Amino acid sequence: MKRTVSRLLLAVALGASMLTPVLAQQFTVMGHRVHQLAATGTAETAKGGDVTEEWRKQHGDINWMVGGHGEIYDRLLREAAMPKSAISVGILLGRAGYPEFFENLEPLNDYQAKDPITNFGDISQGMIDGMTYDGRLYAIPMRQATSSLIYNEALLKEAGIDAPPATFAEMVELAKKLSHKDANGNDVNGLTFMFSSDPLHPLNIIFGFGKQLIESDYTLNADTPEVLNGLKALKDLYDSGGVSKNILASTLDTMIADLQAGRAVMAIDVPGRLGVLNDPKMSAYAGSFKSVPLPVNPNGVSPTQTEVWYMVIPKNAPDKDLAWSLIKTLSEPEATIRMALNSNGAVRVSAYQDPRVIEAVATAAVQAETVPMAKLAIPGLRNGERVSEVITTQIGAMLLGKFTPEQVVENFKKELTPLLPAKP
Amino acid sequence: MSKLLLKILSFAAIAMIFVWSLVPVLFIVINSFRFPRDILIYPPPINTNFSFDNYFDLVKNYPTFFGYMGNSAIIAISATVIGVIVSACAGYVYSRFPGRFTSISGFYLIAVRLLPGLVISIPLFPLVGYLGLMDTHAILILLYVTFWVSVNTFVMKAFIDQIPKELDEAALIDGASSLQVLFKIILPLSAQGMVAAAVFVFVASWNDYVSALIFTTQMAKTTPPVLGEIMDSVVGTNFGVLFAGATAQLLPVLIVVIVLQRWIVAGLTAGSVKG
Amino acid sequence: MRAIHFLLLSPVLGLATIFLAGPALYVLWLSLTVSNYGMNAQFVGLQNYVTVLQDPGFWTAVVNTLIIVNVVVYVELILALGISLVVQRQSGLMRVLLFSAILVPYGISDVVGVMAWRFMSDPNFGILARGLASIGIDFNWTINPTLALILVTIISVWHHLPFTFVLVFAALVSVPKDMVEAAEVDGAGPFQRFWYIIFPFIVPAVLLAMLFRYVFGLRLFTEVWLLTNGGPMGMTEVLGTYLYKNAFRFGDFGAASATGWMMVVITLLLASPYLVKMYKGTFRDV
Repeated sequence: MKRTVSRLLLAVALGASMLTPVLAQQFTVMGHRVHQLAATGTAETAKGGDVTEEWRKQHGDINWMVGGHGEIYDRLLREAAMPKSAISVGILLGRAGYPEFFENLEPLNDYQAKDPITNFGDISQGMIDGMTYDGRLYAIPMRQATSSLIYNEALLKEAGIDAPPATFAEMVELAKKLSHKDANGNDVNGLTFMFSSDPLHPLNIIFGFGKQLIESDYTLNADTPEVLNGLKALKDLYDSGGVSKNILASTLDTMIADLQAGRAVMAIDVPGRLGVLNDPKMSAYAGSFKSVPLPVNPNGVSPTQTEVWYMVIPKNAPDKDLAWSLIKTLSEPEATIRMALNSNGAVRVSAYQDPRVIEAVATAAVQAETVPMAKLAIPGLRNGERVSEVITTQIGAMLLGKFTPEQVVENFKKELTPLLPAKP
Repeated sequence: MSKLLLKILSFAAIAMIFVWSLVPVLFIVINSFRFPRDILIYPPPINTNFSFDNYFDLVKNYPTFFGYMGNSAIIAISATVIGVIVSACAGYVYSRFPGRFTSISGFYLIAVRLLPGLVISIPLFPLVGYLGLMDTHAILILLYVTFWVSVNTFVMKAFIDQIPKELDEAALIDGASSLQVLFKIILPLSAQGMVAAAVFVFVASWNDYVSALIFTTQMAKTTPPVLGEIMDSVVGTNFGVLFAGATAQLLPVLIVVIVLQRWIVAGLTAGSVKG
Repeated sequence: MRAIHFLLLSPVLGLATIFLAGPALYVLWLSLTVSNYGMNAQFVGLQNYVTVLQDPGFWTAVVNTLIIVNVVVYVELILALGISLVVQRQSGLMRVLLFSAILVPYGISDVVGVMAWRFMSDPNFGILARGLASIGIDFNWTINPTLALILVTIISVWHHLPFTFVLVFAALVSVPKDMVEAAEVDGAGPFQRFWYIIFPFIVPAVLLAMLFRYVFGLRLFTEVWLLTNGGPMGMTEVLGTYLYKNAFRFGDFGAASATGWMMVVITLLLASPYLVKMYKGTFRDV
C-alpha cells in the first residue's frame, strides 16, 4: 500500500515534468504583439508581408513572447540576473533608456561597424540620441507612436464646424463648445485623452501652450508662464465639461470606447488609432474619424509628442550575432517600408514618401510631417515612473480642486527637481 | 401561513443569489456574442446581431489560446490531484497525531504563507532557473500545489477532525497500517474537505496569470497570459474577443465544479455514518 | 510520531520550505538592501523600513487596506453562512444550479471579472451607475475615493465569496443529520438548533476561512489596480498596489521587500485572535 502510494505520487510528478520536451533553446524575441504583427505581417489588414521570412529560412524559427512594456521590462531585468538570458532580442519603450538600465544591455556600435544597417542616417537622429550614453548606442528604434489630433468629422459637421481647429487654444475652446448631452442622455465631451495610467496626454496639452514640462535635456519648465497656461487650460477644460468629469479614470480602452460610441468628438492620440476607430464592427462612427497634426502652439509649432519602441540585445543573450542580424533585417529601409504597410509607425521618415505607403496608409502625410519634429513626453529617466506618478497625482488634485494651478507649479518644482538628473 | 412566508423568503433569497453571482458574468457572456461596438455603450442595445464573430476572431487572431488550453488542463489537473493528496496526508497527521513537532510545523505552514507572492517571485525566478525548471509544466504544478498546501492542509485537518476517532482507532487495533486507515477510512469520510481543496487548487491554477507569465516562455504557457495579450496596451482591447476568451476559459471550470459538487452530496451520505 | 508520519508531512513541508520559506528569507535580506531585481544589492540596514514608515502614502494604504479587509472578511462570512443555509435546503437540480452559480465568480479570470464590474459601474455608460443615476443616486467613483473603495470592497466580496462559501457549505453538509434531528425531537427551535448544534460543528471551518481571507485579503490588488490605479491623489492606494508600484514600477526592491515584511507583521497582528483560537482548538491535546 505504502509503495503503491509513493509510486503513484512519483509517477504523477515525473509524468508531469516529462510532458515538457527538452528542446534546443529557441531564438526568443520579447516584444509587444504589435511588433510581432508588424514584423510577420499576420494581421488581416497587413499589406507588407512577412519581413522575417528570409531570415527564418536561414536561421530557423522565432519564438515571439509578447506582453506590454511593463512585462517586457520586468522580464528583461529578471533574466539579467541569470547566467544566460532566455531572450535574444527585447523590444521596449524609450522610457527605459537610463544609464543603470543600459548596464544590462549589449552596446551595439561594434555590430553596426561590422555589419552596418543600410542608410543608418535616415533613422531619426533624436531617436538614436535617446538611447546613446557615453558614446555607446544601446538600442535601435523599431516603432514610433506620435501624437496627432483625431476627430469625428460627422460630429463636427453636426455642430456646424467644417475644419479642425487651427491653434491649440482654439482646440480647447472648441472642446468646450462641443460638449453637450445626446438623445440617450449620454454626456458628449469635446475632447478626450488617457489619464489614469500615464501622464502622456496631459503633458501634451501643457506642451500645446508653448513649452514641455520636462525637456529632453531634463530642463524642468514648471516655473514658466507657458506651463502655467497649460495647467489652467486643463483645469478650464475639466470645469467647463470640455473633457469628461471621469477623465481621471480614463484609460486607453475607455478613451477608444468613448470615441467609437460618439461620447467624445476629438482626442489627442496616435494616427494609427484610426484602424479601430473606423472599423464598422467596433465603431458606431466607422469611416468618420480623421487625423491631422496637432494644432500649433503659440510659437507656431505643432506640439507633437512621441513614444519610441526600441530593439535591444541583453548583455547575457544566448546568441548576440544572430540577434543583431535580426535587428538589422528589421531595420533595413525596405523592411521599414514593409512594416509600415503592416501598420507599423515607421522610424525612417523616408518610408512615408514611398508610393506604396502613401497609397496604403491614410495618415502617411500627417506622419511625414509630425515624426521629424516629435518630442519625447518624458525623456529616459531612472526615476521615470516616479516622475509620471507625481505629474498624474498633482494634475488630478488640481482637477478635483484640491490645488490651484499655481500650487501645482510649486509642487512640481519641489517634487520633480530631486527626481531629475542634476544638470551638467 | 409561516410556511408560505418561508417559501417566499427562500425564493427571494435564491433569486438574489443568482442575481448577485451571475449578473457580472452574464455581462461578459452576453457581450461575447455582440459586436464590440455594442458593448461599452448606454443604453445597452436590445436587438443587436448576436453572432459567434468574436469567437472566430479569437481563434484567428490568437491561435495559441486554444492550443495553450491543453497546457492549462495538464497543469491544473496535476496540481489538483497532487495538491489534494499531499494536503490530505498532512491533514491526517495534523488531525490524528498532535505533538510538539506537528504544532510547530503547523504554525510554520501558516507563517510561510504570509509574505505576498509578488515579492516572493523576485528570488523565485533565479531559484527556478537554477533548478532548471524554467518553462516546464512541472514548475507551475509545483508552485500551484505549494501556494495552496497551507490552506488545504488545514482544510483537510478540519474535516478529518470531524470524523470520530473511534473509527480509525478501531482499524489500527485491528492491524491496519496508517496508510490503509488514511485511504480506506479517512479520505472517503472527508470528501467535502477534498472537494473544497480541489476547487481551490483547480480554480487558482486554471486562472493564474502572474506565475504563468513569469515562469514560462513557450512550452508550458497557459491561457491566462493570452487573455493578458488581448488586453492590449498599445492598440486597445477588443472587448468582444476578450469576453469570448473569458467565456471559453470559464466553461471548463463550470464542468469541474458540477462534477465535484456531486461529491459533496456523496460526502453527505458518507457523513451520516459519522457520530 | 512515527517515521511514516514524518513521511506524510514531508511533501507539504518540503514544498513550503523550498518555494516559500527560502525565498521569504531572501526577501528579508533584500529588505535590508538597496537593490534592483536583487542585483548589485548594497546593505543599508533598516533604512528601507524607515523610508516606508515615513511615507504618508504607506499609511494611507494601511488604513484603506485594514478597513476593506475587515469589511470583506465579515461580510463574506455572513453571506456565506446565509447562502449555505439556503443552498442546503435545496435538493436536486436546484442545488447543482445554485452551487455552480455561486462558484462562477471564482471561475472568471480575476482581471476580466474586475473589468466587467468596472464597465458596469462606469459613470458614462455603465448599466449599474446609470441605473443608480436614474433613481437619483450619483455613484461617480472616479472622482470620489470613498465610493471607489466601496466599489473595490463590493467587487472583492463578489470575487472571493466562493472561497468562504465552499468551506462553510462543506462544513455545513458534514454536520451529522441525526444530531440535528435529535435536537429537533428535543424541541429545539431552528435558531437554537443552529446556535447550539450546527454552529459549534462548523466553527473550525469558519475560523479557517476567516484566517486565510485575512491573509489573502491583505494582498488586495487587481480591483484597485484596474479601477483607480491608487488615484485620485493616492487616496485609494492599498498595500498590494503600494508594494507593486515600489517593486515593479519604481524598481525599488528594498522598499517593496520591506513593505512585504510589514504586511507579514500586520497580517499576524490582524489574524492573531483567529490563529490563537484555531491553534487552541487544533492542538489542545498537546
